[in-house]
Amino acid sequence: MKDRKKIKSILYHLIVITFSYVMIYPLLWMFFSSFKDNSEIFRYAHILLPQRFNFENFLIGWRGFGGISFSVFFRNSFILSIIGTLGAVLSSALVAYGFSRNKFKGKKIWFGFMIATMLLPYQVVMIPQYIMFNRFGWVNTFKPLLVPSFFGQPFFIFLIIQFIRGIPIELDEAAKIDGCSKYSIFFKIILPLITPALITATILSFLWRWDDFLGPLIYLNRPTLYPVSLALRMFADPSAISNWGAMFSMATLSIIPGLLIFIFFQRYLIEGIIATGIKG
Amino acid sequence: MKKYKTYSILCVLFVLFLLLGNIGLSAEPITLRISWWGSQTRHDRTLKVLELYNKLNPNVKFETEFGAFSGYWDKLAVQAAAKNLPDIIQIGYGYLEEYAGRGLLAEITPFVDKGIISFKDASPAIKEAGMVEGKLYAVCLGMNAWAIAYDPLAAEKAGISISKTGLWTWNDYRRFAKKIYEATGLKAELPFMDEPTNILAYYLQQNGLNLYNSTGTGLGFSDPKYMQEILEIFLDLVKSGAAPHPSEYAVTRSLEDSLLVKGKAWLYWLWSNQFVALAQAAKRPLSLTLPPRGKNPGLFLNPSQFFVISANSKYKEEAAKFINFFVNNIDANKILLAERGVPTSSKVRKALKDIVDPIVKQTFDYMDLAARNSIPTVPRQPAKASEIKKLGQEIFQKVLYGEISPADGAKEFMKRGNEILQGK
Amino acid sequence: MTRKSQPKKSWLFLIINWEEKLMNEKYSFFKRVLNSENTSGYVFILPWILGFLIFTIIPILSTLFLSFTKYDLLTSPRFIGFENYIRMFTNDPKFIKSLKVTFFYVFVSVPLKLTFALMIALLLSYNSKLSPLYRAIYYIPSMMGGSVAIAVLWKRLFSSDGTINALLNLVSIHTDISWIGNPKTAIWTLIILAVWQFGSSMLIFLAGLKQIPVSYYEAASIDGANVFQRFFRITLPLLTPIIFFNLVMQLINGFMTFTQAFIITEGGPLNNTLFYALYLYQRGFQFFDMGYACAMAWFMLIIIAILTSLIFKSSNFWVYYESKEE
Repeated sequence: MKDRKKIKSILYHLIVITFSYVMIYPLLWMFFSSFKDNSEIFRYAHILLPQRFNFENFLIGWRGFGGISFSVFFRNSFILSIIGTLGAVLSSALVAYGFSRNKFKGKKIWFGFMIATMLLPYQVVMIPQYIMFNRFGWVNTFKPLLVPSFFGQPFFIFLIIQFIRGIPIELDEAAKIDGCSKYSIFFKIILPLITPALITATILSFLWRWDDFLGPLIYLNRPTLYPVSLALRMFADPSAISNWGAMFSMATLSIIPGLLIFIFFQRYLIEGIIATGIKG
Repeated sequence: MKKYKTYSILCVLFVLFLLLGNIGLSAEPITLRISWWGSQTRHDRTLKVLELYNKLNPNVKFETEFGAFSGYWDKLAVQAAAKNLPDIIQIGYGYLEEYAGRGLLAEITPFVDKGIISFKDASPAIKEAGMVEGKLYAVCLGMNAWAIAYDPLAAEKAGISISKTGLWTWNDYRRFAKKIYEATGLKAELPFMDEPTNILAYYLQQNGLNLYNSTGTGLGFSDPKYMQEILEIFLDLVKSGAAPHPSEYAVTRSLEDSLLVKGKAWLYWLWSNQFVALAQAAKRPLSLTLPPRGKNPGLFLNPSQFFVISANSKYKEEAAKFINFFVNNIDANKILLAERGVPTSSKVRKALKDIVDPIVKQTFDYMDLAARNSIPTVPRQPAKASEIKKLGQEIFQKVLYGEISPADGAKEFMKRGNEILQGK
Repeated sequence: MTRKSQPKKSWLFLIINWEEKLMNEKYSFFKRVLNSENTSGYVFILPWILGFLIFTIIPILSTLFLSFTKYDLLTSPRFIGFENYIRMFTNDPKFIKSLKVTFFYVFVSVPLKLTFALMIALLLSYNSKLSPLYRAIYYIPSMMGGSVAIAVLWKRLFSSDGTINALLNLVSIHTDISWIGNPKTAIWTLIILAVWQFGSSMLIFLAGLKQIPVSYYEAASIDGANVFQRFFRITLPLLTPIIFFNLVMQLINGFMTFTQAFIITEGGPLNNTLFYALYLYQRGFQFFDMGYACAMAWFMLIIIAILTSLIFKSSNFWVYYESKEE
């Protein structure tokens, strides 16, 4: 009986591990290819490990193109991701509290609009937004990518609302009896309690902004402004690329910030995703 | 006392500094925005020339916007809409009329009249190439032409000799391709699969026709048989295996990733200036030859790229000065090394002849050969040319994938092509 | 970054101070107004309302207006009535193709993805010491899937001399098919890419599974229900709200897919991967055809609205809600 259980358990792990391997094989392949030279990538495409670890690709890749190195692109990505994330998370927290703990006229309508914009394809607003920002003279600056984030982002508003709903309303009521206004309730009671949701939103926002491609593609025309995503695509352009190893080395580097964040904040991320899905 | 001395020295220095500074800055400091597409080699060489220009003209700084071809036109279109085009723009022949027609480009004639831009070492055709409806908008940066690069050893193995002067017919082309495939397993790559209208235009010109009519309001030919014939030639080769399956070309790939470089093909259609990159990547001797001949010459000497000045530029004259430097300065061209095609200035060409490497020399020789086998004028590229190219690509793919017959493909191209050009 | 965040912070404190001042009896009128929930609610959602008006409503209406014009971004828009919409359906085979391609992609990849997500979630719901690690590994692809790095990688994996063919070669399936170049297989490389990113849906399922009380299963076992019966009678019905949520989100994401097709297949071969969002981008930003692109955007909006409302309507029939306290 015990043996059978053991065999079953081994079998289970075997299946799960095999499948895990299939899942991350592409990523492993990319990682190891960044140490291979071109001919090795092509001729031994089926061999995962490089014949020898060759760090030269990273040096070549880091040089970037046309005198602009990847340090510039990474800096741009960090600026865009961090500032945008701050704006999105803070403003979303305010709005979420407004929706979840205040009864006001027209709330239902506004909330409906908010949910509807969650379902709104970006393409619908893309062209007029472009025309508008262009008129502001914001093209070729980070502004079109950063400013809108300070006005709340429906997905995060929704996420935080879900979280606030889990906080007992008795806390608010007790504070109210103590003479707290809606505003101080938010800053003194709710804000500290929703930290996990804020962390989740921060992580997701950072990851999405880091990977954003269409926005920078439209708004940023100067290589010195490119974030990593756009630079990678220019770097990997089929009509220009000749050094796949260097390309993969930069592609590998580009996913490292996301990976690190995931490893350190796994718990929050998973809990956050679960929260939005479960109670939706 | 000592203090006073230090002060006075400082004052003198300060005044001197101001004066010197003023002399140095006698010209107003300006920043020119410049954009181009290309490969890493081109980026590096162009940036070096900008550096050189900045050294000679310290008041002129550059802000560069460069990338690869595929995203270039999207970006430019967006910038045009924003009335935010760079001062100096590299532009391709197929786009010149479109941009000039939209009033996005500045006329260059005043700068030629003032002697800022000189065409005196270039043939009249070069200047003409930059004209749209009688007005000069663009300065040609180099000349290239369609060409065939091939592996002479592969041909030899199959017992075939290809004349350097390309005195072969389309029938020879088919026959050779099949023979070499049988003997060596090597294929003849399909021509210009990202822009197959090139091969159509070539074939039409051989028959005394043009892809576009002279007003740019329709196709220049009314009989679908030409397109059908050219499609049939390549469909036949694909079917027999002598040419690769079109799926090889579904995704744009670099020269360095071509089947020829990987040793799976022996023949490659290209623009002559690309030969340098191709030969270097292939790491085996390659030859250049003229494409198969027809009744008339099908080639033309093509202005590979232009520099234009945007209509919204604040520094048109400075931009013009730089363009002239780029085209006519010998030191600058010693850095560029004909990477944008054979230079237009005869003086520059002469200066380069001695220093260019053997592969570049091959392209120079080829251009001489092509010049003798070309139609005299550069065919017109109407404003909708970019859309026609996309359509041509679609039709070529459909036919070569076997979805529709060459006859139907030709008919569809004629119908939709004319619709696009008529602005429907 | 810190410089930008500081004014934001002090702004928050200002509000607190200001608000505390108002708490004084002297300002009782303001206090009453400000503290009425009508006001406070609007104060809090004000950022979003502003953003909604400026960055959503005005652009949406402009898109609607532009969709009735011919507009090349340079000359001012010219009103042409319904011409763009008519052209979409009568004289633009590429538009029809892009619709077909997108629908195929969405309706194949979303169910596949959700099925996978559910299957793996079931597999991982057995607790072991390694569970967190497994969970992480399965989740990582969905975290990076949209990035350019992955798109570029995919292109390499599925090319004719790529890794997939090399691996197939090992198990003596010899092929040099270009998966991306072949019109029949190209869309599948993108579908595989989408399915590969089942991680976040899986996490949501996993959480849902954990919420199902063990007592349900125990009771079922006593009644003699087998594994499959338990799955179809208990697990699946209780998961339907989550399936519903996943379905809506994934459908919309599917319709908006852009980067992958833009980089990996460029819409080809034979326009077989010409996604709607990609064609819209091409029309607008490659052919200067902004009016038409705006018409396409509005049509996309209508499709998504219809689809979501259909799903919402149908949810009455298949989504099982436990009695809720609310």
